[in-house]
Amino acid sequence: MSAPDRKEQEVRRMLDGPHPVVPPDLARLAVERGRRLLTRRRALRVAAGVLIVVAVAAFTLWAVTAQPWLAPPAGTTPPLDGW
Amino acid sequence: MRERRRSHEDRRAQEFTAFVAGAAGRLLHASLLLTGEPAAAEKLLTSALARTYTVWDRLHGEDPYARTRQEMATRFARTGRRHRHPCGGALDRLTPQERLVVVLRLFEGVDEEQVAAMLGLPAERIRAVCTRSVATLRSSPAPSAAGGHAGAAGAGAAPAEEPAPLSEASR
Repeated sequence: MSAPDRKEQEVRRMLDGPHPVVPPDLARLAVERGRRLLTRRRALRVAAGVLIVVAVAAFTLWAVTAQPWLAPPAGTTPPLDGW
Repeated sequence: MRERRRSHEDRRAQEFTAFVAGAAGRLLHASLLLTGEPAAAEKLLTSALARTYTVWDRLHGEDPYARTRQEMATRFARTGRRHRHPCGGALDRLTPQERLVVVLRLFEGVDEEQVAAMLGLPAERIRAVCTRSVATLRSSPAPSAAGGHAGAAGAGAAPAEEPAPLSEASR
């Protein structure tokens, strides 16, 4: 139990040390990139919404004009008997 | 409306910049341990921070540091193949997966269970990988022995669906 812990401690000490120098514009770059991501997501959402509205409108228009729930006119004439 | 959104964005950017000022040093250190190379480390950290920025308003009390660390781990796990070849740094004798586990467990001090959940692996496997990595790091840094060991470890690490023999071997 203690031996692995000691070994892990050794590696921990090896990893610890002074932090590297952070580039001064890191936060600005991250903010810019984050904003770009948000803008892109917003644009995608708007595009998806517009697409849905257009699809619903097109379907409604087609349904109203074509009225597919009505029975299609008979393709053949019924036989004429009794003449 | 637009004005209000603008000021809201400005406040978010200010809060975020303050967070980065405090956390970036340690995060960049972790990123450097993962990638082994400063340019790649900065790239990894910037993308993770950008993702954190997009969810800044929806953190709901979650620690932004932990969130960024998670983003970094996920991204590194996904692009780990790119960092397969040793490229310097303290952990260049480990495979990408071993580096990820060592950084999360030993450098960041994340629980075994949490690391397992983050990487989608069983906790025993995390322990096995950690033990193996510690052994590799403590062994003499002779290039030939290190190369042989790293190769064997890499071959053993490849099939993720066989955690039992690995954990058996580590005990």
